[in-house]
Amino acid sequence: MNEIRIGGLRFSLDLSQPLYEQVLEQVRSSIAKGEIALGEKIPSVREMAQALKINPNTVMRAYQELERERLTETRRGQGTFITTDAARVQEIRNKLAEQAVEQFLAKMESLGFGLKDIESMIRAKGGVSP
Amino acid sequence: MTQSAISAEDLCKRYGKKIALADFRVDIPRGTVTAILGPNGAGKSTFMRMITGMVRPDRGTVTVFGRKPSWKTNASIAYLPDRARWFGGHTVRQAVEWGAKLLPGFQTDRAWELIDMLGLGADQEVAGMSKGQEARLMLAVCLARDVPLLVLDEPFSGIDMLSREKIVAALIDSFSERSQTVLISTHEIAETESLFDYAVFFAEGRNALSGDVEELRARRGSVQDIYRQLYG
Amino acid sequence: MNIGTFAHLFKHEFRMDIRRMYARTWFWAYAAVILAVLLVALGVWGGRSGFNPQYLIYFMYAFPFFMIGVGHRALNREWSDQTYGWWLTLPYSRFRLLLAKFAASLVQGMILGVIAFGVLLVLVLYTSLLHGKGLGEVADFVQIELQYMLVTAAAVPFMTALGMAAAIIWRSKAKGLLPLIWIVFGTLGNIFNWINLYTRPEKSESTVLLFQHGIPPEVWAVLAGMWLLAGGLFAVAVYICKKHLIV
Repeated sequence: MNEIRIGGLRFSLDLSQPLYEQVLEQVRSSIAKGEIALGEKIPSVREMAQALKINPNTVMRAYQELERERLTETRRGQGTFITTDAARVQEIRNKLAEQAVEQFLAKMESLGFGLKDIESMIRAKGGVSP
Repeated sequence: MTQSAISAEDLCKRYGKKIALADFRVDIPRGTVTAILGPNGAGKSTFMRMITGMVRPDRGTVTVFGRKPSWKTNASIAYLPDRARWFGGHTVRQAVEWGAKLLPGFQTDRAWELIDMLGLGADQEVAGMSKGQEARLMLAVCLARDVPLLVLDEPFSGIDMLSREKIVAALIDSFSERSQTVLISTHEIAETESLFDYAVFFAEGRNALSGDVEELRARRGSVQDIYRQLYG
Repeated sequence: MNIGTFAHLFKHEFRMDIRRMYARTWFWAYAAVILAVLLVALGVWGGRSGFNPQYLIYFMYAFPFFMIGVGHRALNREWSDQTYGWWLTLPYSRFRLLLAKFAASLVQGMILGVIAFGVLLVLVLYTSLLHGKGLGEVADFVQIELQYMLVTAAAVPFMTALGMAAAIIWRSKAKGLLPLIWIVFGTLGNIFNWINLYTRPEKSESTVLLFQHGIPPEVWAVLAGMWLLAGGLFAVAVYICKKHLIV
């Protein structure tokens, strides 16, 4: 599937993987990156389903999980909003960064590189590009 | 199984020498949007016709919400037949009237909403419609009904791309609006696979594979991939 | 049975039939041509001594056969229009669905019959007035029409049901019964002829009246029998539609 933008969020869905997880991860990612601001309204389940052309149930599941993780809050009659809790967003950012590091280290390890090699490689590359 | 919307066991049907269904078994969960997939002649339409009481099995059983299919159970089913046409003498308005007077659960407001969404006009004549427009009208009549089961037999067959997109949008809207068990048979898997919760793959009258679509994705890939694996 | 929905089913069937047949221009073109020919012929030859305008009533011999077509078309339309999927899955019993079609066909038959008899009466009036023969002939013709109306009323339900039964049987596993339908159609269809033959010894040559001295009880029995047969045929059609239809 091509990239779809809706209400500040960006999605790129791969039909050969479960969609619910992808929607969830990509919303989390958008929040962490600040692509969507704190307290901003996100599209309704119906709007999201229409934009992504997927089953509303899938979107609903993802929204419910986001609510459970306190990344979003639903206000009756008004819709769903990103949390205003900056600390929570920071938590997510940290968590995603940790995951990225873990994956990176695991990959380097599988290629046979030790921590010392990794360190010098990072220094040589001049840090992570913005 | 009381949780199933549709349950079939050892279902058999043949037309002369042609076997349509052979010991077909399935349990389709309630409230899901289910894909009925398979090549032509695999038994999909026969299965759908059995659910709506148009065809009787030679052997075996099929139940809809625990009951045997008949004209009585059809009060709870909105069925879009395959290769169907609408009544040539109608305008869109008359079609809505027909639905309101003869189809249980028909909601006129919802019908007009859908007709608007699908780009049709109240005084448009069915006789002058393109195939795509007629397909949209028939879908509107089905979706306008607040019933537990929706059965669409090849709603996309031979329909132009724009009509298909409108139909998909109307379906998503309908799924957002109410919780229904929906069966859709289609060949347009690329465009529709993201709509489905559950899938049943037909092959030569049998259930070759069935299950929750997200689970199948995790195990075997996209519905398109699975289709190729099974029939390729 | 919910009277409300039956009324809607009936209205739907009636509308579909009317549109199918009578909205077509060629139907009316044919009718206009035939009428014009008749008017001319009656105008030219109506005055001749040998010509009895009452012979016009023989047109009504064809009416029952026409009604087979009406009954047949009422059912076959669902297949030729590809709407049988909607029709067969309506949440109403096959009995009710077929009854709506039967009733719509009969009402159509009634209306057409009245029109046909009316047109014939007008033609007789026209001939009489044109050739200065006075209204006595017209009065006689009315009597004749009444007799024919009675027989038509008996024949029409039967022939309509026959047409419907034929259409259903053609689409069912009971296809083999179709020759039987033809036989029934052949023997009983030409009811006017049979009655004519039956009452011939009583009649003088120069009248088209079916019954000279009132209607004999055997004939009443036959007429009633035809109504019963109509009901029986209808029941057969419903049964086959319920159990043996091939879709």
